[in-house]
Order: sequence, then structure tokens, then C-alpha cells
Amino acid sequence: MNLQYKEGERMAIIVNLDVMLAKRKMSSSELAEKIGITQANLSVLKTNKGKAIRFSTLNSICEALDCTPGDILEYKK
Amino acid sequence: MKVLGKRSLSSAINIFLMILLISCIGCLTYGIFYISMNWNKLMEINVHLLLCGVYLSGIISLIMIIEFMGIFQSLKKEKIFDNENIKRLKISYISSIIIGILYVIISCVIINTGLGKIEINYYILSFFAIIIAMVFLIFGVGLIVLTEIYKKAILYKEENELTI
Repeated sequence: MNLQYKEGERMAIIVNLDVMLAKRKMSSSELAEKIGITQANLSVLKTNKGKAIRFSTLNSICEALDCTPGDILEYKK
Repeated sequence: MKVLGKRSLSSAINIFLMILLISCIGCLTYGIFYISMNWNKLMEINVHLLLCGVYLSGIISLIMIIEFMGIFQSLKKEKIFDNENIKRLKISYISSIIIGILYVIISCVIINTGLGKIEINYYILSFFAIIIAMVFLIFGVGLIVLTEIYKKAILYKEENELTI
């Protein structure tokens, strides 16, 4: 069974960054500044348009929001 | 040697292509007048066919030059992996293959004209026409391969840009 992701397929991984930002009462611009990425890139992540996330970026987000990767990333088929 | 950007090899080639384009337009324009004035003097139908074929290949070459100018213009602006370049490469390889096929037809017409005649010139001309045809066909195939590589490169670039 070929489970390889095909270009154009809907990604089942959802980024729940908005939820965590609301819980921590932090704005997107604040988070972007803290982790050292542009707001545009953060927006790409929030809107699930991103193709991949580096471990270093994920590490920075979890540190800034005091959470685990599971709090931010969800798999919804 | 600087290949991309302003004052680089790309800008030099762009200028060369511009000169080539102007020269080609000039030759084709002069060609129209020459052919129209001498049409009736050219008795054989094969010569008419030859002239039409060569003229058509000249017009298609102009299209190729314009597309290549577009490609080198984008390289001058350092916009290397651009979707527009894929369209330009597609048009270029289609044009190149058409020119190759035209020259195959031209060489057949030359051989047909020279059939039964002892003059070796027809066979030499036909041989050169075949060489030109092969060059354009191989160039066209090379451009097809380059287009596919370019498409992959743009895909990887976009994926990299969307890697946060």
C-alpha cells in the first residue's frame, strides 16, 4: 500500500497555532519576533500552506508557547 | 565571470540576441521584396517550395530568438526559476523541432529536384540541409530535457520556500 504523499493532495496535518496563541494570549507578530521568522512565514504555517517545518523552528515555537509539538500539530483524516 | 545579474554574460548575450533579431527581421523583410520581384523567374515549383520552407524556418527562428531573449532578460534580473521561463522553453523546443522537420522536408525537395541530374551540388545541399535538421532536432530534444529539469527545480524551490 503506497502511502506516499502526492502533490496536490489535501494535507491531513493541521497546524493549531491560533489555538495555542489564544491560550497563551500572544499575538502572531509577537511569536514571529520571538522565534525569528517573518510574519509572512508564520502566516503560511497558520494557514496550512506550508510544505514542511524544520525541527529548529518547531523547537522555537514550542519553547515560545511552552507546549509540545502535539499541541500544535494534529492529524485529521 | 559573472553569469547572472546586470553587466554579466546574460546581459551580453541579450544584446547579441537583440542584434541578431534586428538582422533577421532585416533579412526576412529584404527577402520578401526579392522573392516577390523574382517569383516568375523561378520556374521550378520545387524552388518555390524551397524558398517557402526556408522563409518559414526563418520566421520560426525569430520566435525562438524572442523567447531566448526573454529567458536571458529574466537571468539578467536574477529571476532564474520563473514559471515564465518554462513557457518560453516550451515554445523554443516546439519551434526547434518544427524547424528540424522543415529542413528534413527541404532536403527531400532538394534531392527530388536533383534526381536524374548528374550535378553533385544538389546532394551536397541536401546533406547540409540534413545536418541543419539534425542540429535543430537534437537541440529541440535537449530543450525538452532542460524544460523538465527546470520544472523540477521550480517545484523544489517552491517547496523550500514553504519550508518554515
